[in-house]
Amino acid sequence: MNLLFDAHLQEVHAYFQSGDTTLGLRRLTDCAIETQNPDIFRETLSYYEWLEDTNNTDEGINTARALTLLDKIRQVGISIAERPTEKILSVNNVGKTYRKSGFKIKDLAFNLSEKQIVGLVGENGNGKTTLLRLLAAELLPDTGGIEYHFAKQHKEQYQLKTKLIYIEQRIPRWHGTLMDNLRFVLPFYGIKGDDGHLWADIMIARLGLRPYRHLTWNRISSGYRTRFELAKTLLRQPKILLLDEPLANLDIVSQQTILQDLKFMANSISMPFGMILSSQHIYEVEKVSNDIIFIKNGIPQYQNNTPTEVEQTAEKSALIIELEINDNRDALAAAFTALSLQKIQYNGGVYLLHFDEGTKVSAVLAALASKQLEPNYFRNISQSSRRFFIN
Amino acid sequence: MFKKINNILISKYPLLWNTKAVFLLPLALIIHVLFYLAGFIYFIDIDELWQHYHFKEENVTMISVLFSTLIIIIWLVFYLRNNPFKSFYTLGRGYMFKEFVLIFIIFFSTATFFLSYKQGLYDNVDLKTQDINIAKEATLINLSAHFIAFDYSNFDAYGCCDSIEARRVRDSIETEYEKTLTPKELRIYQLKKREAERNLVDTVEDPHSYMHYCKREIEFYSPTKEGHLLNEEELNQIAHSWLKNGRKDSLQQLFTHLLSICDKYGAIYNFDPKAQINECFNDDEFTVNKTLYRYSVDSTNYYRENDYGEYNDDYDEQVRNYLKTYEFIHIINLNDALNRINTVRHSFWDVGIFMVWLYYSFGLTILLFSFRVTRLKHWFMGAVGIGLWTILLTLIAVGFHLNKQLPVLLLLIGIIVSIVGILYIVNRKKKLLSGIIYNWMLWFMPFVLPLIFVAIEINTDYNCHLKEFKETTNCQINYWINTNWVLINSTNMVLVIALIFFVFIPLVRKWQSNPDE
Repeated sequence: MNLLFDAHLQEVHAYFQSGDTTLGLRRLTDCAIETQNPDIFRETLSYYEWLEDTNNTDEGINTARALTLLDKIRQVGISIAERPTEKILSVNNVGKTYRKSGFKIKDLAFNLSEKQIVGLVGENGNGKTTLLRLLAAELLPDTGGIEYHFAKQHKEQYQLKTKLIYIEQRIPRWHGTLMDNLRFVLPFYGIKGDDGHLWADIMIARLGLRPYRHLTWNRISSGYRTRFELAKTLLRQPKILLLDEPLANLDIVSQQTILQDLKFMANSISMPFGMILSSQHIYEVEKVSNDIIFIKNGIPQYQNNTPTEVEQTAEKSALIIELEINDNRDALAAAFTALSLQKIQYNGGVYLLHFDEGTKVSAVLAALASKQLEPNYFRNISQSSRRFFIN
Repeated sequence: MFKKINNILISKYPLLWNTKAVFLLPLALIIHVLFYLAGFIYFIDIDELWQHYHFKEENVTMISVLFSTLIIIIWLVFYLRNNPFKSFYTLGRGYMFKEFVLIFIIFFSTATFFLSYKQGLYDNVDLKTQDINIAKEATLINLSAHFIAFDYSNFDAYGCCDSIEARRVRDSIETEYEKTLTPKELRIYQLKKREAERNLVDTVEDPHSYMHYCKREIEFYSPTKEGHLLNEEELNQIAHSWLKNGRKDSLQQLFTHLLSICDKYGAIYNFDPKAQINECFNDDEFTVNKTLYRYSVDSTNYYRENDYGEYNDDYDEQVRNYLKTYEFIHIINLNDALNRINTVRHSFWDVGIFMVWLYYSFGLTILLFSFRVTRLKHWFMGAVGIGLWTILLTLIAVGFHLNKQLPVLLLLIGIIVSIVGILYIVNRKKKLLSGIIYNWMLWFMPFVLPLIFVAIEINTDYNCHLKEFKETTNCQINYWINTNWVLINSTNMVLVIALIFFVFIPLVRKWQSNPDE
């Protein structure tokens, strides 16, 4: 028994028991995919069909059936033994200069492992896409080097690029139905015949594309096109996935769902991959990323985003609060006279309040309450890369 | 059914699904069959055979080209929808090579519907004329021509078999003598000989007799399946014997047969056999006093009007009356009809047609393959570049009077540009330029081997027509090249296919994965 897989199953069980059936279904499908078992795929798909056909609102029945399926998945299990995550990418002091514009990327250096997600943030025109294209081997670094550890056995660069997948912000147009396009991918990866149909079906189900599977490019929204591109990519079993602004076409709910899904899938036991994604949606990206690279004028800054690391650095750094409130600057200054407020910045929409090292968030909230000031929006951005965007 | 096949193909045979070969090739086969049937059931009566110059294949060829173009355009719309190579799907060299071969088969199968039509037409005419012994009929017509003077000059003493034979012998002796002369001496000798002949001709009397004729009216472009066709001397002997022995009855029979053949093949005539027999035996020398028209301009016009459907009763009557004043046999129709029967009895399929078909399909395959594996921008710029190269090389060739050096120059430029392109691709540099050069290399490759031989051929042909140079190595090489183009082109095909697999596919895989900048 793979302990990690067992933990995943328990997690799914807990979701269903606590009524989080939507999340539970997504994770249940992940577990089914981990088994790579055609029978389990069929059972899972028939569960989806049952849900669609009956439109059953009785959560109890749904949950019971889901848990039955979960038991079957547990019985089948996975044949992959646990192993430590492997480093798949090393970027060593990479630099790139565009001769025409003079724009430079400087001293880019980081590693990427399986299951690791790196968020890439920065303002427009600061080099996010250039960085991703460098990593996608679409641009040749002028200095330094990029090592793709997973592809060392490949003599041919083409083979490397089959596992190093870069999804541009503008999804390339496809022809034919969504389903046909997914089925076409699979034989190239050794999944043929009925198995191919099952894999395409299960991935479509996993990414919530079942109602759209027989539709063409013109008939689905840009958000679903992004999901389709992800489905196609995931079927290709990437080792590194590079996503340029994947959230651009998605609504707020879809953004969160897709990011969660990507995190779950990157953490797959049977098909783990590393991922680097660029986005303007800092907070959403921070939620799922292990590390953040903030890039400004081509110069990267790194931030470890693991909870322990965040806690440790939080104690040593100044407190920065992002605040949206109807009151003016004077009222705010008056509220925080007892606290060591260093600076107030206002960009016309939100205030950024800078407090001394050691100031507690609770103290800031208490100060606001004591003056009966009612914030519309309050966020501690001391450890967020949002702070890098402060002018 | 269609959906089921589609599902099987997409999940098991992605190449077949992508190329749509499973649907296209049977469709091409069906169209070939339809074209064949169209040819086979096309109504041609034997008396119309002479009208069918090339059996009106031009129109069918045009329709065939339109069909092919339409099919290829529709096919491209589907085929170009998916490109696993550019999407970096896991595929090997074998997949790409199979794709190349499939494209080739598709072009090959859709390029030549008109040949199926032609085959159908040939089979149709062959079936209708299978009982006809064209050698016998040709001999009969050829023998008749000994007794009918279509061309007065053919009946003079210099047209007789003995004169012809004597001239041939003399010519061969002279040719041997000429071979011993230097080019300058040869020119002087030939001028003198021509002058002497002119003087001689001017002094000779001109007796015209039915005994002198030594020609064949019907000549076949290729041998007949019946085999032996009486030659000029054999025909002449029969004619001599009939004339000397007063065989008027044989002549009567011969003319009767001739006219029945004319009727069969729709050759009009205004001919009186009895009057012609009298003409042949009008004196002891069998002197030719009367000539007949082989065809007349008026009769040609008359039929042309009919062909175009502008038939006019009054005009027809006028022409008919007019033609009555002339004696003629439209014997040219017989020649056309018999030759067409002979043509259909020989297969038109030969190595030449096959090579043209192969090269045509191969050329299109290479163009499409290069479009498929590189980007539109590289392909288009490559095409523009070829145009610029052509202009530049034309200017150089004209400006520096490079005729024999042009193939060598082309090869040299090709090799240098290819080396630069390969170095860029291998060193992962200048993707745009290397992409353009890759296209040039691919397009230029089929011409390399033939161009090498052209370069050798045109640089070894100096004076090879002269005996003293014939045995030189230069001339032997030249001769070998000129007599082995089929071998050279076949070898070239094999070489090109091998290069595609072993060089161009690995190279484009490398290029495709190279960084843009």
